[in-house]
This record gives sequence, structure tokens and C-alpha cells, in this order.
Amino acid sequence: MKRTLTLLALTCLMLIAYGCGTTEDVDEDVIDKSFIQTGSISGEVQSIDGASIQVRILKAGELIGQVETDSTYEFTELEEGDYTIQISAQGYEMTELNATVFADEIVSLVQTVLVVLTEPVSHISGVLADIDSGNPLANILVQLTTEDEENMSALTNNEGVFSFENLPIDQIITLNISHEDYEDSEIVIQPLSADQIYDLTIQLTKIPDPVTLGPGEGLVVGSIAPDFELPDGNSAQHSLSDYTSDNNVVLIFYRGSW
Amino acid sequence: MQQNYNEIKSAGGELIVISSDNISTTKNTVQNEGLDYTVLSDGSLDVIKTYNVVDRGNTRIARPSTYILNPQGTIVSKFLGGTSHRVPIQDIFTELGKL
Repeated sequence: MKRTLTLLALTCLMLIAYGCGTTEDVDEDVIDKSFIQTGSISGEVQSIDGASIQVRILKAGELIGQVETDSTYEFTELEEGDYTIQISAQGYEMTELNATVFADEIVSLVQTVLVVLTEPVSHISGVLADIDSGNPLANILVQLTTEDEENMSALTNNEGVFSFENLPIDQIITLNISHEDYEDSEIVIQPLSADQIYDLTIQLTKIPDPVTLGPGEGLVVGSIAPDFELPDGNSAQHSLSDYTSDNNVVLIFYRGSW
Repeated sequence: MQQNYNEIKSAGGELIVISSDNISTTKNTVQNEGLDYTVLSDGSLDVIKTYNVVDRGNTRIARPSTYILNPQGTIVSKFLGGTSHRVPIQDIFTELGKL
């Protein structure tokens, strides 16, 4: 058994070596993602009583991941590059950390101690669900804009829940959800007061799949009739476009005299 | 169908009729029935397949069906028939009247 494992390990090493050796010759656009080497970021936040801590990771200003924790956090399979970690909890100032990820390395960040906020703030939390099935929608980006045009984003977790902490009070807040599978949704929230937690449920409508008809069910009404050329009984060719250019056309298919 | 053809004409429509009959059968049909509208032969079923109207019982022939197209070539109506060869002529006039 041990021998088999060693052999397997060797095979893996050879595969990795092969992967490295060939990437130089490959056009960047066609590199298989599995060959891109990744690293991790881990860290710790000093616990705060009874409050959950949101840890978000951004790359070039775009939210790419998010976890909820009471102390430690980790982001894995990160491509090489610079990242920003945002740590926030209700009633505490948001702390930002920067980290650079290298392949096959784990970046350990210093422990974060959150500072209690002195200014009054409000919070929003919500659930995203499919309007038809009622199922929660995970990993969907929710973007928030304040009246002062400050932007924040959050991803929904596996239960479809998202949250925004420490929002300014007395401002109209707009939430935007845009996802390729769903119709865009915009929610305007009237100004919140200090310490208010605004809970909402947002239902998204799935964009229907394009209509396809079964065999023998014809073409979709509203689509363009495909042009064609066919002979008549005297072998003279007729094309559909000769007829449609000036007129309505009634096109009849019949079973024939077979 | 021949008697309806003039009505379709006067409603501003051209009539094209297609079957999988070969060219000589098509010629006979036109001559025997004295048809003066366009009857075309789609022996290889290319167009019948393109329009997704192959008969489900006999895949060598077309399912009786009617499309109404506007001058832009857009399909504005569609009627699919069963095994009995009945062209929904009243529906055709109604639809042409709307265009």
C-alpha cells in the first residue's frame, strides 16, 4: 500500500512538472484553470460578545468572497495578487487589511481587534429567494449605494442571506441585484434610524429559457421564416424571398400524394 | 383550395404549397387539379425539416401545416394539422385581414 502511494505521489509530481513546463508555450487565454497555482489567506479577529463578524475579501475593488465567523477566517484557492480584507461587525468600525498572495503559500494576518463605533449607525439584512420556488439563492452579489454615493457589496450565503453593517443613518439606501439568470431588481430603502436593523426579503424572477419547440411542432411565431429555394412541377426554381418582398405569404405544407 | 386562392390573393397574400412529392408528381397534381398557385416539390424534405413540420407518423412526408408570413418574412401565425388534410381557410382569412 505504501508503495502504491509513493508511486501515485510521483505520478502527481510528474503531472505538475509537465503542467509547468508547457504553460509557457500556451496562449494565455486557453490555460486550463486547474494549472493556475493558488494560495490562501488566514487570520483571526478578537471575539466580540454575541456578535457575528463579517469578513469580506476584495480583489481590485470587487467582492470575491465572504465568510461569517466568531473569530478565525480563511480564504483558499486565491490566484496570486493583491487582496483587501474587510472585517466588520454591527456596532464596530470596519477594519481593512491588505495582503499579497503567492502560489502555494498561506498568508497569516495579524489578529484584528475591532474598535467600537461612536457614530450612530443602522444595519440591513435580507434574504434572496426565487419567486417561484421560494428557494434561497446563494452566492449572488448585492450592491448597496447610499445617498452620498458610497458603495458596498455583499454576497448571499448558502441560506440566501446577505447583510450590510454600520450604514449611515438618515440616508436613502438603494440595493441593486443583477444576475444573468434573474431579472434585475432594485430596492429603495427609506432612511433608517440609529441602531435600527432593517430586515427584508427580496424575490427574484428567473429569466425564462428561450422557447424551443418539439419535433414536428413547427417554428416559433415571431421568428423569421427561413428562406429557401425549391422547384415547381416544371423544375423552375422559386425562392421564398421572391414572394415575401411585397406580399403576405400563406405557406402550406401538405402530405402529398405518396 | 383553388377556389380559396383568389380570396387569399385579394386579401393581399401569395400562396405557396409544399409537399415531399417529387417534381413529376407535383406536375401531375397541378395539371390534374388545374391549380394556378405555386406548388413546390421538396423531395429531400430539406425545407420541411427546416420548418420543423416532418409528420410524426410518417417521417417521409410533411405534417399538414400552415404558416402566415408578413412582407418582412416574419412568421405571424402558424396552424398545425393532424393526419386529416384540412387547411384552416377561415383562420387564414382572419389572420390575413389583420395584416
